[in-house]
Amino acid sequence: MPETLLDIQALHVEFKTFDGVSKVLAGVDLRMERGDVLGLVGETGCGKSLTALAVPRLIPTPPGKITSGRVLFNGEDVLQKSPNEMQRLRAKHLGMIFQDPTTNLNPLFTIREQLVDAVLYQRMDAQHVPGRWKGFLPSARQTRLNAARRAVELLGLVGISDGDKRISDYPHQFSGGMRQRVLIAMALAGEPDLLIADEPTTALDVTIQAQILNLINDLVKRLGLSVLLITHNLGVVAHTCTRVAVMYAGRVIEQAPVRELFKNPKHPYTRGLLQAVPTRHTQRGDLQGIAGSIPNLNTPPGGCRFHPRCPQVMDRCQVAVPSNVVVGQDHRTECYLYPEGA
Amino acid sequence: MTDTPLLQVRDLQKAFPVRGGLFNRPIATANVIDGVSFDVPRGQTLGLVGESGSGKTTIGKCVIRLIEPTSGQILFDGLDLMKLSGRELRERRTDMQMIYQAPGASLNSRMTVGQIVGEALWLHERLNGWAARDRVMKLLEVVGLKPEHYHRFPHEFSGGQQQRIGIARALAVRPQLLVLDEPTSALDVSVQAQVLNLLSDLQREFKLTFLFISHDLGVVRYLCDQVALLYLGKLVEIADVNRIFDEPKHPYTQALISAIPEPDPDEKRAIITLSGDLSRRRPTRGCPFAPRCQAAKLEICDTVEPPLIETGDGHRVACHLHTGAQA
Amino acid sequence: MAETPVLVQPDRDGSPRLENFRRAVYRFRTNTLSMIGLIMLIFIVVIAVTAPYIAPHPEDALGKTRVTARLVAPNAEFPFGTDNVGRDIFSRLLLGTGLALQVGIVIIVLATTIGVTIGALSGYFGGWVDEILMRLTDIFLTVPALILAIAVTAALGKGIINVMIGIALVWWPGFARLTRSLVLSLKEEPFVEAARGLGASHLRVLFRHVLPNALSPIIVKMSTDFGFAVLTAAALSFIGLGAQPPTPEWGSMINEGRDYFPQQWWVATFPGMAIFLLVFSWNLLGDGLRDVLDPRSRR
Repeated sequence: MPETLLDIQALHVEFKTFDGVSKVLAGVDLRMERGDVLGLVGETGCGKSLTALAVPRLIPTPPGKITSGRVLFNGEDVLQKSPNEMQRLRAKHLGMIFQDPTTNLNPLFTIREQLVDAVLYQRMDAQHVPGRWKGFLPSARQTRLNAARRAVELLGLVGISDGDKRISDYPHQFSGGMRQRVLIAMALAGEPDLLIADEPTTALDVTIQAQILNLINDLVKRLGLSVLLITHNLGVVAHTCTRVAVMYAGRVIEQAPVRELFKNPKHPYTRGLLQAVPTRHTQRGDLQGIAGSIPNLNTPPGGCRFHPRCPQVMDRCQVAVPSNVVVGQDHRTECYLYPEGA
Repeated sequence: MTDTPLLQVRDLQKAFPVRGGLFNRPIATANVIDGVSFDVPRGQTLGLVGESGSGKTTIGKCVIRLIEPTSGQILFDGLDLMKLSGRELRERRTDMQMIYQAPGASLNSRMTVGQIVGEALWLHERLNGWAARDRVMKLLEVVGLKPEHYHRFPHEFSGGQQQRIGIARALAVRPQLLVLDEPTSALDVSVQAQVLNLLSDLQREFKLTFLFISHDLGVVRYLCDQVALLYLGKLVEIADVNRIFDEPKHPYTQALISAIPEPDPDEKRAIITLSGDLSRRRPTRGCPFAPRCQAAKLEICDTVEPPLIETGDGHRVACHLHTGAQA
Repeated sequence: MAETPVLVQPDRDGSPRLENFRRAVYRFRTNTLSMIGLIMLIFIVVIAVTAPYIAPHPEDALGKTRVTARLVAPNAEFPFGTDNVGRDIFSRLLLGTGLALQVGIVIIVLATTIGVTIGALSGYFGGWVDEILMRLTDIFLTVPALILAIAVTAALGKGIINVMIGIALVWWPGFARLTRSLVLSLKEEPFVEAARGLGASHLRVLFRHVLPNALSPIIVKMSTDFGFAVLTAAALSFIGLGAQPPTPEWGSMINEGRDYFPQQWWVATFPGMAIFLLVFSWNLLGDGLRDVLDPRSRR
């Protein structure tokens, strides 16, 4: 029986803007088993990053606000936790990496200082000292030395073999791919249960992207890590993930194991998305975009939010949001094309 | 019309001074583009592919002299652009236009769409008022925008629409050559497909010639007739698109093609993983790609820089494995 | 071209410019402090315009003296008391408001014109143009502004006009530096390159594409500097270089009250309060404008 690691239930998030209240997430349901590499796919503004930010509760508030829903991580609702508990959770159980490896490292400090800090944060609750004062205590030196040793270990883990030398370098002495490795090392400092990777290879060149994806695959195998991989690149998903969830305008509209989704896409949006990527078999003129553009979430279309762009739209699509139906082995979608209980 | 290619680039060089020492004087030069030559036939698309730092955008800007090349020849329709004065060049701007990577940043946020697209008409034809308005409206229609967009500001549009505005602005001068600098890399896939198809249609309709700069080989394969691969400012391979993808000769090309993530979980190809990064410090001697090369290395690779040689059917490659050099 | 006339649709209800303006107003209004600044400023302008009609003793600004009522403490007839020659301080303050505003406007407009021109040319053309103009700016910046203003004004001769010219001449380097840095970063933007690529001339690129995008920070600086310019002018008047008696200039009024402080505190305190309020309201307004005028945060 696989163990549920993350279970997001009916998550609603709103943002206040001049134009009114933007319903950015409108009932996101997402489930991850331990050991899954879940690809969260969607276009700009579909809410994929926001969904991921809800797990460590990092949605900027205000203007954002979680209006309802539950985010169960290891069976506990993170939305009910105190700020202190959240901080511990973020340090020990969650790792995050982001799109731009440059801005996520402080250019004024060496890699050692930044990695050691990451290691120390993760150990904060191990000692019965208020966290803030620990750096001033006599034992701090030994602690830092241990942490530095651990930091070199972490660099080795992410494939920087001469970590003991490179650790005293500054971020600008690293290339983009190496910086992303350092950030992965930082994220792994707490031996997290879940690694949230938000477009980790978008800013990198293809050859470097291949390296980083290999590294993530490798870490999944060696450490039994679970990964929530947010991306817009279907190719990356096909090569890295075990399951895929497709988001559109604040809802997960289809989720399935990776092979099932690519071979047997059900939702018209998923199909459109797959047809929009040029592959080696695409002939000139064959490529099809999806007509129109993403809806304004201040005044989202009624019913299914995809209906204004959907090639197979029906009358009922404009009235009510379709419910989640099972369309195959572990394959669910939200679309009226598929009868319930089939 | 003759059969001479619309654009001929000969031995293009661009060196930036490296400053240092006391008083920040130039102490050396860094060759960002190092002797690049290629032709783009009329009505065709040449894809210029390379990783960041390979100098592909610099080439694109040099070709239309938005950046001054250090040396080389740029023949546009037989006319050497390098010999033009500032005023002559401004007049020739109607022949060549550029589409930018960041659609939002390439539009002046203080001007309306009508003003942005209409500016070219004023600059080159002294057209304004209703005459200009009619032309702009037609251009908007051509790129798939609506008349009511005329009075809006760029920030009110989505990325794909902003890119359409940029295309309309470029088309306003009725150019022959468009330099497309990663026009879709900032866009979502569904929108990318729309813009690619739009470009393809426009090329046919207006007989445009494209210099298509991209790092996305999937898109290049879809849109281009010929592909040129750059590594550290040098051409390493250039050929027809099919030849490049079916029988890539240079180890770098092979690695790049193998690293394209295909949206198909069953296609488990062997990805050739290159070690290291595109290093900005190229080796002083030998092949610039030698330190990362995954192919069997010859001794000569570390000592002699391979020339770009023809291997048949217009396929040119710069690699000792194909120059007949022996180990 | 244009064989088929394209239907030009009427603007949507409310043009985009109006729409932008509405957004700006909305964001300005959410900023309480800048609203307070704006309200104070409107109040000050109303006073400046209506002063001749609402001042209880308007003739006091023209040199009338009241020997019988020297240094009277604030009371019902003289709300802010009277000065050493028996003039009503309240009336003089009201009648001096217009002058204070004029001084600020003239100084800032002059300084902005000089500074923006020099900064824009310097930043856009770079090279030796930049070197010459920026070294010139540096020279002005090496001498303390107040001392330089005093020197310039003293050379030009006493009087409020010369004070304004003197201050404007030392005020522009700030604008030049600000404009230069804005232009330096803007000229690298793709839209500027696109304009060059279209064949626009340097002057057109500079005035049509670069400067309009640099306007917001300049306007913000104008509004925050306004208060300080008034303050500097008051300082020059305080040391006797500026407005000559009997002009009701706030700085010189403080100067006149100096000898009677702190026993007859009202003579100097009320003009001081007036200057404070004017400077303060401009600063609050400037902060609000900063939030409003950035086009990139419009959404």
